[in-house]
This record gives sequence, C-alpha cells and structure tokens, in this order.
Amino acid sequence: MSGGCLISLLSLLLYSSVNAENLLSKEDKLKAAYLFNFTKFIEWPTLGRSERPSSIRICVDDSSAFTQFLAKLVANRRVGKFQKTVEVLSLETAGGCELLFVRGGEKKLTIKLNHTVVVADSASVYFPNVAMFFYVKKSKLRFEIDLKKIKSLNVVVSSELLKLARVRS
Amino acid sequence: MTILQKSPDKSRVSFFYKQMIAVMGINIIPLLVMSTMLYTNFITDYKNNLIEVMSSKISLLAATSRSALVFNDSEAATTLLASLKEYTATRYVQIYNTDMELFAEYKRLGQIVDVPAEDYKNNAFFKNENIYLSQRIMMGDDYLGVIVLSANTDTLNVQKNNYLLISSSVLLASLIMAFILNWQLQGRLTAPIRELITLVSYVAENKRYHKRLYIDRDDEIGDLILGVNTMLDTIETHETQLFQRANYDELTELPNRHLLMERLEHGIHAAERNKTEMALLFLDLDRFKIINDSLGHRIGDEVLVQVAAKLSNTMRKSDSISRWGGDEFVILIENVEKVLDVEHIIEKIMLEIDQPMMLENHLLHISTSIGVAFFPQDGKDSLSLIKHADISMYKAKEKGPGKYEYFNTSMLNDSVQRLTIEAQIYKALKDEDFFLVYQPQVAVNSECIIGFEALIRWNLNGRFVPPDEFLPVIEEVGLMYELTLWILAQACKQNEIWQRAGLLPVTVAVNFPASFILHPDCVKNVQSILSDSGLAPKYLEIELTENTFINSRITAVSVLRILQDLGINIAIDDFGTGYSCLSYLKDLPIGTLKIDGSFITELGVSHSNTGIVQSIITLGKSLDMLLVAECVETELQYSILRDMKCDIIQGYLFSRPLTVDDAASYLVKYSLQKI
Repeated sequence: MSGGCLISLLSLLLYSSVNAENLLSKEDKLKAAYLFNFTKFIEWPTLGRSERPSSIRICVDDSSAFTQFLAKLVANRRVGKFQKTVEVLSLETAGGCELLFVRGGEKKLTIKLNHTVVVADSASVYFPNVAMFFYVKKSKLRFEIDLKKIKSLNVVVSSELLKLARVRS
Repeated sequence: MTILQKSPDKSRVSFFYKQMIAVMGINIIPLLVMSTMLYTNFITDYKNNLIEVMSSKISLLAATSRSALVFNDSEAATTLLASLKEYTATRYVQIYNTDMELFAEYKRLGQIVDVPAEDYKNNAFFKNENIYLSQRIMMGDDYLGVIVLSANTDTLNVQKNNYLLISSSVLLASLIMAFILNWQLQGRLTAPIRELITLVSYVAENKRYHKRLYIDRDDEIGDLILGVNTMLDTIETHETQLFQRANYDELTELPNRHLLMERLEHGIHAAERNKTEMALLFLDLDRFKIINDSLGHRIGDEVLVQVAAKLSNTMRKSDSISRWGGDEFVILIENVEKVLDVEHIIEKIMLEIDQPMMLENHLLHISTSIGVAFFPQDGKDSLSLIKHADISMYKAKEKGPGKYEYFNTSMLNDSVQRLTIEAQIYKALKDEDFFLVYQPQVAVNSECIIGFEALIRWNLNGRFVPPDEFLPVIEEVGLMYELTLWILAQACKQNEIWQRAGLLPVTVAVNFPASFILHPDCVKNVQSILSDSGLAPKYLEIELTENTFINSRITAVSVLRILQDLGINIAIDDFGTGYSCLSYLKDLPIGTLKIDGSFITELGVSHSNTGIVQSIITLGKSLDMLLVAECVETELQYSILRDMKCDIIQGYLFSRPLTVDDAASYLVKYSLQKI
C-alpha cells in the first residue's frame, strides 16, 4: 500500500470489513490496529534476511471476528526493514508466532514461544510471559510493556513504542 | 608633508591628497564589496545553519512523533513537541494528521499561529522575521501527517548585528591600515615628484636653470627626472646663448651696446656714490668702410676681431670694452683720477691699433678716431655721455684719421650743424647744387697750360660751402662713391666738349678718394664714363692721396695698373704728408707726384722745408715722374720751383679755380697763344 496513512487505512479496512466490524467494538478494532502497529516497532532477530519471504505471524486466541478483522487489516501490508508481510493465524493452527494476542485464560499451547511477544488483552488476563497488555486510561487505549520480559525474548522494541507505552522495568 | 602651493586659494587640493583620495577610493570600493560579501556570506551561512538546525529539529520531531501518530497518542506527541520549549526561538510547532486536523502542538506563550499548515511550502521560508518549516511524517511509505514549525529569528538578527559590527570593524581597520600604508607609500613614491615640483617652482620663480635632480632610479620617474634635467640643460644652454646674444657681440665677443648701457648705468651709480669720475671713449675706425667695400666683409670682420683683441689686450680688466656697432667701439674707464691718465690710455690704444695687421696677404694699416666724454662734467646720464662721446669722435674725425677729441659743449652746435649739413647734402644731390671748378696746371718751362684739376663746389643758398666741410660728411654718410662718379663724369664730359670745340687738348685731373679706388666696380665705371663721354683716357688724370695705399696696397695697385693700362695717368696728391713709406713708389704705376701745398707755402721761408721739396723733386725725377707743385701763389715760390726743375705749377699765381666758362676762356687764350 502506498501513500495512505495508517489511520485512514484502518478506517478504510474497517469500512470494507463490514461484517467483522459490526461484530467488534471500537476498542477491539483499535487493539487490532495496535497489534498490527506493534509489528512496525518490534524487530525479531530470528526474522533475518535469510528467512525471507517468511511473514510476521500474529496469532490470536480469540473469536474469528477479531481474527478476521485483523487479517483483513494486515492483508497485503509489509512492515519492518525487511518488508515482511504480516500473517494472522489462529493460535490452534499456528506453527509459531512472533506476536501472540491473548484475550482469554491460559490455554494449552502446542507451539513454542521462544521469541513470541505475548500481548494480553488486559492486565487481568492471565497468561505466562505476557510482555505487553492493553489498558484504558481516560477513555484512551494504552498499553504497558514489561521491559524485562521483552529483553528475555531477545527482541528489539523501538524506543518510539516504549515512549508511548507504560513501561514496567 | 609639505606640498607646493602656488595658489593662495586654501581650498586648492594638492596632487598628493588627490592621489591619496583616489587610491583610498579605489581601496574602499573592494573593501566595501568584500565586507558586504563577507557580511552577506556570514548571514547566508547563519541562515542556512539556522535552517539546518531547524530542519534537524523538525526531522527529529517528525521521526519521533511517528509512533504517537500511529498509536493516535496526541499527548505523547504534545509532550514530544514540548521538548522545544528549551529552544527559545521556537514560536510554535504543530502536528497535523492526514486529514490536516491538528493532532498535537506546542505554542510558546503569546505566540499565535500566523501561517496555516496548508500555506507551508516544501522548503523553509522566512516571513515577518520568522522562519517557517514543515515536514511530512512518514513511516516507510505511509504518510502519517505533517509537522510544521515556526521560530523567530532573533538570533539571526543578533548575529546580523554581530556580523555587521565585525564587518564594519574589519572594514574600518582595513581602511585605516590601507590609509597608513598608502600614506607611507605615496610619501615615498611622490618624494621625487615633490622634488621635481620644488625644482620646477624654483626655476619658474627665479628663472635660474642651474639646479639638477640626482637620478638613482631606473624607472619612469627616473626617466621623468632625466627628462627634466635634460630640458633644464637645454634651457640653460639656450639661456646662456640668449644672454650671450643679448649682451655680447657675436663677432668680437665683446659686450654689446645693451650690456654696455647696463654697465654704464651701474658705473654712474657707483661714481655718484663714491664721488669718482669716469671716462667714456667712443672709437670709430678710420676708413673701415673702404676695407669692407674693397676687401669684403670677411676681412672687414676679421679687422674688427683683431681690433677687439688689441683693445682687450691694451685695456685693464676693470675697464669695459664693448662693440657699439659697425666699426664703433666704446670703452668705459672707471675711477678716473686725472685726465692725463685717460690721455695715456688713448695714446696706448692708438699706438696698438696703428700696428699694421696682415690679413690674407693684405697688409692693413688701421687707425681710429676717438671721442672722449667724462662723467659727471660731460653728462649726468648714460645717454648723454654716449651722445657726447660720439659727437667728440666726429669732431676728432674731422681733424683727420688717428685723432682724438675731448667733449666740450660747443660741439653740440657743431653736431647740430653737421646734421643740418647731412640733410642739405641729400637735398643738394637731388637738386644738383654741386658743380665743378677747374684750376689750371701750367708747365714751368713753357708757362703753357697742360691741364686742369677738377674741384667740386657747393653753392648753398648763395654761399659756397668749403669742401673740407661737406666732403667728410659725404664720406661718412656713404655717398662719396656716387659723388666721385658724378665728378668724373662731369669732368670727362666737359673736357671732351672743350676738345670738340677745338680748344687746346689738356688733361683733367679728378681726385679719387681711396674708397673709390677700392670699390669693386671702380674700373668698370671709369671705363663706362670714358666711353660715354668720348674722352681719350690719356686726357684723364687720377689724383690719389698716399693714404689710399695704407688700407690695401695690393688691391689699389692692381686697380691702378688696369687704369694706367687704359692710358690714364696716375698722380699722388698731397705727397709728403701721408703714408711716408717711400719704397712703395717704385712699385706703383704713378706718373705724377703732386707736392703738398704746405711745403710750397713755406718755400723760401724754411730752409729745411726747401730741402724737403728739393728731395721730393729729386725723388720723382729719379723715378721718371712728373712733379706738380700746388698752392703756388708767389713769384718766389715759382722761381724756386723752376730752379728745382719742377715740371708743373698749380696755384693762384697763375689762376684760381675757374668756372666752366672761365676755364674755356683760359683755354681759348692759350689756344690762341699757341697759334
């Protein structure tokens, strides 16, 4: 996609995915967009040039509406310095994830989460190794980053992202 | 620094200052341009630097605000923009989203957003002393929004003032340095020019050309100095020549009339001051015109040169000798104590000049007449002294060659009279008031007339003017040659008339002055007159004085030989009183000696005089010459002369000079006696 701002794109995509959109709250939609935007500010060292054309995989343990919305949102989008495509997968079917969005409780995982950045829907979601979670402050969606966890994942989070986040060190 | 100021006008600007102003003007222009360029460059650099700084800031903000836009976190963006608070120039900074809605901003207190985001251009621009920049916020290829920034240019203005101060200081310092260096340089460079100006001013003011400038440089200034020096050399040479020509006679190198008058004036002042006397000697060479006419101007000039040399050798260095003009010289003798001293000097001069001089095989005997006037008794001023000495000279000349005369006031009348005579002579020649009389010459043995001596007379308003009064004047005014031709023509014509009338053929004797004999056309004119009159040359006798041979014997002899060859008889008149060198007699083509009347008058009175006459007659006889005694007035004189075997008698004893008619009657009488 060329020349369009993400916010506009987001609106456009939301508009084009009427069915999914209708099912999702504004907050979910924002979360979906945030998830996609996270891929822009996080670098996974395992996704080097040699592994091209592999994608950045976003795994979601949630309803198909959110996943569908997110999938439509990232469709044909490329991010990062290696211009990776973004792929949205169901947690059950994913062979591996770079970014995992969990909304429910702990589930039995079939995949290894070596470098997966786990993003929780909220602080109340219990899930091991959650590195980031959303929260709402003054009616605005915000997110917190556990810097310690991030460091343990051997990923690089952009300072720009850290600047926006509430950081827990 | 002193610069020549000729004009009293104080506003006059010297060449040095003009040059300084010109040089400084030339220096100021590039310095001004350089300072302006420096200043402009400084400002441009600072502006560029400001733009660069602002651009880097806005770039940084654009980069760091991407995430805030992406995550729609305007607070974070605002916080980010607020970081420019520390940068005091910042007026405001704003972030607009893709819909150009204000997303975040930082605005300094009191500042307003004066340029809408839509009006921002791609490049930074300045407006109202503010800088405006904008930058699109991109994330990869995604356009996220635009950030605009405005900052004041207070620092730029401060820098402008600083740079202006620096540039002005540099300019001022450069100008001062340039002025000092140029002052020194101009001083050095114009030093020779100033010397030249000083020299030229000195020359212009003092009219003196002896100063020169030393040349020690090999450049255009050196050439200029050399040129001026050379010019001064030329002027000095010309000045010297002009002075020489103005004050000295070119031929004799003696002071000329102009310088004499100056010295005379000076001498008069000195004599007045010191109560001393001066003598002014006016010299005129005798018969110089004859030399000039007969031998040419070249020899005449040489005579003048030699006379000048003789005078210079004779006189003291303190005496002023000058050539007055022609053959006239003036000598100024200062501090005269006695008249006798002057007399000694005059005699010394005459003795020196009387010494014969040999010029191109011509042995010349020169004499001079001298008139003397004394200061103060004979004249109080230079013109009077000159005039009176001149008059005295003429008076001396009247006495004969080689004489001198002191001025006395009676001469003034004579001088006036002489001038009157001059005028009357011209009129007489024009009106033909001159006429001839003829004095018979009678043979002693036969008492028969054998000839006449033609004598000129002048009837001036019924008064007969003696020849010794007007002939010297005629000689002086240069009319003697023409008058002699007229006499000759009249005498020849008259004799031919008598002969054609059947009267006793006799000779007619005509006196030839020396100037006539030495005239280049003498022979030609005599031949022409004889031819015109028809008179046989044997009936013409030429009478000369001994002095004819003094000036140029060779020329006179050659002319006389030609005349003798024509058949004309040559007689020496007034023999015994003139040039007494008898040796020339044997070389001259002379047929007759006329014994001077002064000897005849004393005959029978002075024994020695009688001896002289006898000696002359004996001498003449020994040279086969006829002897004529003139001024014979008594029987005693006649008797003595007859006893001495004198051939011819002329004088009142037999006849006074006769008019044409009386002479004709005289001839008639003798013609009848002969019959």
